[in-house]
Amino acid sequence: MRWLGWLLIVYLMLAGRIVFRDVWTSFPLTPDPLLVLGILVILRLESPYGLLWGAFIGLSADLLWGDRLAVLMLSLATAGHLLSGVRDWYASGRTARRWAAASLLATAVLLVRAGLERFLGGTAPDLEAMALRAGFEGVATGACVLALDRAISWIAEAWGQVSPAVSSNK
Amino acid sequence: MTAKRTPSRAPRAAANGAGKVFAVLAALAGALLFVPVDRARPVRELARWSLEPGVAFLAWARDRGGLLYAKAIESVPPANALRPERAAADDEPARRTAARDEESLR
Repeated sequence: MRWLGWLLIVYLMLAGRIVFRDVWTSFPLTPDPLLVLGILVILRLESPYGLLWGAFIGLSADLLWGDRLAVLMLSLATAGHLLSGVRDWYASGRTARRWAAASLLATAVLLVRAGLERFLGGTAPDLEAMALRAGFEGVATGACVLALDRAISWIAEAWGQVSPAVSSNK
Repeated sequence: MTAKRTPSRAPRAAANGAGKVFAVLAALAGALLFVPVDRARPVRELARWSLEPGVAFLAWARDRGGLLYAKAIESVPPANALRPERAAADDEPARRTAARDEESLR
């Protein structure tokens, strides 16, 4: 049931990216909603399952919109595995520490993705511009990860209160 | 002196599991990186087709939400509606301007 809930969230995020595309693209450095969700599953789920879900989300996004397959998938899997230690920071209850963990992971994913795209595209990487953009976008993505985490927790709590009442009515 | 045992082997086992999963994922992604997108076109079309119900639902929810918002905004009375004397005071400059324009036309 829990996996079904995550699958529904991923599906709605993918569909929402199409429907609300104008909103996402109207601001500069707006975080990619699928990157936000990918980082959230890596940080929130248990160790191998988070990687699997992150890779699935990355592959879905690249399959639907990417110029190349599996760039986001490889970025999420690599950064998520190499920086798996930040999951402990995220598990702590402090908001600033959680934000730092999410931002660090997001920045790493964006750096790996930009590096991969440059490498595969055959162009020389402009490291300073890449790092600056990844840093700014990573911090914004980290904030969105926290917001989405809070929203999902609220929905889960509400469902937890509603679900026993529904099952007792049957 | 007895050798100390490690406190728990569970984290190490979990790390090994994650390493294997990562190796499989990295190999799969590395192979997919060099697949041309054109060859995945049927899969892409299938994925887009499977998203259609979700897109239709979210578009309906967006339009419905917009309609409800517009209706809620319409139902709110303007700030002057509850205070006629204030509304008249607000309209006074416009009324004076209109009267002056009429006079100048005559």
